[in-house]
Amino acid sequence: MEKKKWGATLFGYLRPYRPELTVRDDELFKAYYCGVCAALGKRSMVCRAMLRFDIAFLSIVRDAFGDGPHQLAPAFCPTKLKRLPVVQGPCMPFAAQVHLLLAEEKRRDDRRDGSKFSGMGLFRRQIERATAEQGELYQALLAMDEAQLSLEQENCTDVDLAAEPFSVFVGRLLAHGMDEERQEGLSWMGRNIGRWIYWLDALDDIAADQKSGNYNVFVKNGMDKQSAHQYIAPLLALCESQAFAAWNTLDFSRNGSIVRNVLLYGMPQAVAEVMNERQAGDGSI
Amino acid sequence: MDPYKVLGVSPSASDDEIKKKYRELVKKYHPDRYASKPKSEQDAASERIKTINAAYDQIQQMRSGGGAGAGGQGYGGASAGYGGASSGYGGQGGYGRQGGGYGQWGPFGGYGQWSGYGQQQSGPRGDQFDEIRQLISRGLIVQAEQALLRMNDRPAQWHYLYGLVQMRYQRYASARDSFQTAVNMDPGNPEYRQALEQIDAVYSSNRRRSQGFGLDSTLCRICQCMACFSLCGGRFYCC
Repeated sequence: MEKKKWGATLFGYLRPYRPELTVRDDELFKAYYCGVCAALGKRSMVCRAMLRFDIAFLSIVRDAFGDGPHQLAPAFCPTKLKRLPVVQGPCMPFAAQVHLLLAEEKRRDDRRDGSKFSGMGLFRRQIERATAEQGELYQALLAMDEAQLSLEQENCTDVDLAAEPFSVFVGRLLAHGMDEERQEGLSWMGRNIGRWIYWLDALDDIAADQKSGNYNVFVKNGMDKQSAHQYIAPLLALCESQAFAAWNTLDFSRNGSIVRNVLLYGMPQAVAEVMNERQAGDGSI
Repeated sequence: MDPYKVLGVSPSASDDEIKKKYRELVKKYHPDRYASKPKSEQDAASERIKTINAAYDQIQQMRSGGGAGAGGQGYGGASAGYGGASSGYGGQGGYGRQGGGYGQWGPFGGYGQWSGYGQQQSGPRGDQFDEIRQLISRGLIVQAEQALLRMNDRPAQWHYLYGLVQMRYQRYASARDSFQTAVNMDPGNPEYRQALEQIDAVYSSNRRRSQGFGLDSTLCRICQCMACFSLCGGRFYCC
């Protein structure tokens, strides 16, 4: 697999665009990512290795409404073999649990696609703990999974409908447990981001899904990658703009510049990388 | 508030009389008519519209057997969440208030250019579209969609309004397709063309920004407009 596709798939599409990040924000993003990693616990090494930037972004958005400076503390990094500053706070354990819930969803998806082995099974105990502690979200995840499966079995060709389950789930993730006055804005932002991720992932997987026969809404519509991009690119941009518009109406007290970078620069960059218009090595983390 | 007094009708007036009077008042105080007036007059008209809408909602509530309230915009609506609506997965927006859940969101709702009072047709069908525009402006998206789907005759304006409804549900593909159909059916209509161009303009700006041209003024306008939209209580400003 090409390196840039591997990177996008493994680390997620939602990441900053480093050339437009300040040094401070660059360090802060890493500290959030490391904070979620640390929150996953010492026993979940495989799990920690599969942590995506999307989850770090989730923690950054949810932590944007806190009071006071960031709570930073040193923690040992098992991959870099040194102590690094990590962000601490209630958003970290939540993000870690979300990572585990999504890992569970990935395991179910892999099984459904016929994969006999899914690496996600290696940390079953951590997943079970997360599903117990975040029962409501887990139920929402199962409902999403069921709805997605139903659409796939019906060979859904409606591009909007296909993205709906994941879109709603991400909206719920962003808004879960937040103050009521922020719920609508975060939900709108999350739904647009979820829709964007779904469409971009489908765009990215066209070749692989054509070969394997796995469900892909663009393949179902008889599109190849170029024609699918032509069709979906304006709508991806609309998702980015709507997410940004929603973000701008929220009363965030910090992390604004990082979120802005991801929405305005990181997301278009991710689209360009998927279309091989730009190399992943030119600045993205 | 005496809603009948606000609308200037008798409590014994028929539903049609009340509806007719309501439309007259909305047209009279519509923000488009005050675009060139001083801000104080614009604000006064905006407040007047809110009062008129509240009065009309209250009368509808009273006459349908419900209490005086907030115009039927309670949480839950029709089939919130997964798999509720017969029209398919998450058919009614999935969250929050009736009306797609996001009455103040999106660039394609509210008063002003996207309701397009200047574009109405005369006659019974024109009245129907007029009413649907009102529903969309007030965030009653579920009702707007139902009213549209009940119509057999679907000219360009139908597709345009359907596109606005789809935008509120974040069904962007369907919305763009609807706007495109409206433009194809009525190429000379600036309102329909502008809706389609808005989507393409966002894409062009995003590409320019990501290719290193920085935040250009077009993007600033669009994103600010979208942010302004919610801050201004549903009115769409083109900055």
